[in-house]
Amino acid sequence: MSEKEIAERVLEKAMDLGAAFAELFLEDREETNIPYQSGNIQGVKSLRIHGAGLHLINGKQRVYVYTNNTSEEALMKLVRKGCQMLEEKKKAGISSLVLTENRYHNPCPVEIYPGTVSNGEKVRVLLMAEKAAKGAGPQIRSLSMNYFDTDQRVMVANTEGVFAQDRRVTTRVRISPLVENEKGTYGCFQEFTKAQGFEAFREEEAYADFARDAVWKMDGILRADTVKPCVVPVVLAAGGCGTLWHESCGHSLEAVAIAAGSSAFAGKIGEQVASEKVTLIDDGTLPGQYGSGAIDDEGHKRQRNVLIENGVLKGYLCDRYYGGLIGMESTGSGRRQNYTYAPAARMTNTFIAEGTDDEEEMIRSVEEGLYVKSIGGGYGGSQFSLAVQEGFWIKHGKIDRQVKNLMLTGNGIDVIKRIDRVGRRMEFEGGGFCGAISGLVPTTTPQPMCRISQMAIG
Amino acid sequence: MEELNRYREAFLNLPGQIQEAEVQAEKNILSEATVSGGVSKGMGFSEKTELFVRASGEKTGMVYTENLSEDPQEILRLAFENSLMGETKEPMNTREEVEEGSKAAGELGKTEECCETETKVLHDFACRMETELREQFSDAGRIEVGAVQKLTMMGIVNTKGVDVSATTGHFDVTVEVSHRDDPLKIYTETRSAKQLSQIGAEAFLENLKNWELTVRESGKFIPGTYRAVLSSQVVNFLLVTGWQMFSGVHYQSGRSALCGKLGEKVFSECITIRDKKGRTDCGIPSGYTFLIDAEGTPCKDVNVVEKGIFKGLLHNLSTAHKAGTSSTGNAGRKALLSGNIHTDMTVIPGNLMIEAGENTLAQLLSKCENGIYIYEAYDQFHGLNTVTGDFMFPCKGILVEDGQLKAGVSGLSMNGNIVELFQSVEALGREQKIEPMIMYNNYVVSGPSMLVSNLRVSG
Repeated sequence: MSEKEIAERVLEKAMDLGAAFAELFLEDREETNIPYQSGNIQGVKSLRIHGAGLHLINGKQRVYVYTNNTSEEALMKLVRKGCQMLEEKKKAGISSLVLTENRYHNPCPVEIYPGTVSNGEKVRVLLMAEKAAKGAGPQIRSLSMNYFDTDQRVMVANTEGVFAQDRRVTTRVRISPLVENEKGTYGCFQEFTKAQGFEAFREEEAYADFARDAVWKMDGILRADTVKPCVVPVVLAAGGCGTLWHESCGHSLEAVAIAAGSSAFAGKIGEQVASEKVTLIDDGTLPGQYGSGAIDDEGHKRQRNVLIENGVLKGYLCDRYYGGLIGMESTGSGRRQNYTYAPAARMTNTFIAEGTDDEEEMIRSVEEGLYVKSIGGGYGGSQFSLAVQEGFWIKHGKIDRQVKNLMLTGNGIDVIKRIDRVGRRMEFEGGGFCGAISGLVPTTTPQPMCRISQMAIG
Repeated sequence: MEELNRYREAFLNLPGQIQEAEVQAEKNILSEATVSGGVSKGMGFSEKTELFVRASGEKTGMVYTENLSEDPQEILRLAFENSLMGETKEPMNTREEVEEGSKAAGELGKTEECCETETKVLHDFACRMETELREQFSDAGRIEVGAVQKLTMMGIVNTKGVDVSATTGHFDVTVEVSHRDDPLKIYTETRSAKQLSQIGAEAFLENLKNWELTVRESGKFIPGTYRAVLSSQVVNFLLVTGWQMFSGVHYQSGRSALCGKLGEKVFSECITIRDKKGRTDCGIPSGYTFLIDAEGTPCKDVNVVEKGIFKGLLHNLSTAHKAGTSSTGNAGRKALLSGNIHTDMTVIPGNLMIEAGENTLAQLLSKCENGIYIYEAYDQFHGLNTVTGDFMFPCKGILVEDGQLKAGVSGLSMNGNIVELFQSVEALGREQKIEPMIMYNNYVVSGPSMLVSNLRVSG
């Protein structure tokens, strides 16, 4: 029996047992992880993630059940278990369900599926990265790395007749150099991330440069000066600094936060919530980006969502359940780490759209302030706090010196109002994982260079 | 565990190149119910079995699978093929080692009697808890109560005669309360126990009343070094990644801020840290029990720090062999947050706890006299460099004047070095929350509130 036929039977059973809406998510994912530690390849690890999740929604109640046994018998048992938990059962109305396959284009084409590549070639990537890192110059006390590839196949079917599939392939090298110099020791991980197959490693110089940059970055951070906490203009470099908007505003624009009443953006659609310079977009259709895909994890076609346009709040990111709680349709944003999580509204590729301002003038215009080249960890929500990974002090309109141990703190809805320059050139970045209610999902946070007129750093 | 039967058979006909093989099966059964406003917000149930398969020739290779229908011979062959690219051979327990370990641990084979709890029972419990909290905490806005039961069955079988299994279970109850006057102000706490009936509203209420003190007008803050009282939640933030300082893996690879200091006085005399496996009622505020680890070693309690002196490391087989000692039963894979399945055998704690003191919050504040009470911190996985011990966490606090809480301040960051911080501890509180590992709930850290003499706070 095909997956589609099994899905039909399972979903029909759910309707028979009183579910107003049911969705079956099947996942089969192959991964390779090759760890490297202190000069040794630690062996190749092959992984198979395999299972099914059943999502039931009756009004405001949701039930989520999952198992890694995907036989029809086990799935029927799962349906019975899930439907038992429904408080108010809907009377059975439909006796048979016909699933219609929706085929959507995945914007991240794959040339070389990782499963077709030998372990030896994958190990070679790590050895080349090791050579580049060790040859970078700065003293490395220890070096650990990982090679990862993922080939995820998902199938989503629901009682509204949706049947959709997607195949998502990614490759990644993580490098964690522990660098030491006369200033001390410092290390943190950096990732070379691609929404591609093994062709991502075709150009050896690309990941060799990345490995060298990671070492130089640690060395630079160690040598940086400190500055006292203050309130100054902050210029954010084009590229991954968009993490600031992901954390400070993006999470507050997810239906999860709106439904919980924990977002400062709740109830403000149509209002001016940001500087007129700001158009904030979440776009899961961008070609070749880590947050992109054909469908979300609820079988909905990915789409481009304009959240804020010229400073005016236009909408929220919605999945089926949380969107339903606030009376809004899905925006193709229902995502989850894997079948063990119920879907929730999540970001994909979130960015401020290109503006019209001159990038060089942004630095020149600052008498004294901070230029942020990259952002480290942090947390978002109504109040955010993010570590500046690479920061440079601006003095008299010029970059003066590298600085460290700084946090960017503030309130998202306040800071986004203070953007007074947005550059013309968008710069993309590799991407990473965003962790929230439905687990860790791949996202990117590109942006053009932009300037915040005043911000607390410390 | 029946999932291991096919591997027991496969071990009888291993391909010649495979010298050793081992399978660890871990089955987790999870039931949960969440309630808010007396209405069910969500219910869930899951049953998932993971197989971690290792095969060694000259070196060790590994396969992880959740697809239980796959042919064991094929999985073992793939694990062996993976070993060919490796450069290390991982040790596996022998039956004799496990038996020896069981004598030391004292209670091998003692599997807890756990039975599955219906989600209806969890739902009804959560409703009662919400009602009780609302009746007794009048400043609550939204209250959400989640009750979870987790049953874990672990089995390990290998070609060296090891065939052990254990079942454990516990309940976690998480309470989330927003303040009536400020819905963005949210209190969250998780409590854990062997039985639901052991988790009462009164324990949450005491901490809720302390939390209520934090909903205050903003005060003027001057960055500097303060005498400070850290809440239990904040101490837990330090421990969430800080426990790695005590890991044999980190210690031996030079990635612990306490490298080379075993046997030395490293912290204030107030500090005693133990890793308890929770087998008997040893007064720990957690329902988590650890009987065998991921290598089949019976778990032992470990005295990590005794009155400030660094006494012991957490070991798996590999680090124990390097140190010339025996494993403490701390082998595990799911160590930290990750977007990937954890496959590397490393060290994880059980219930890693700083022993609580007897001071109430009022007594700690009184001893502090003038300083700051840091009651909430954020971003637990990024703030601490476990190699150097340096930390920087965003946080919120309340200024303390003459032993009294005054004005609240947010947008702060606390920074320093965890070793120096724990050296400056003057007194410990009795408030002790727990922090289960966020993603897998497979270990717990817990520290009490504490008074420290020096904390740099900026913002």
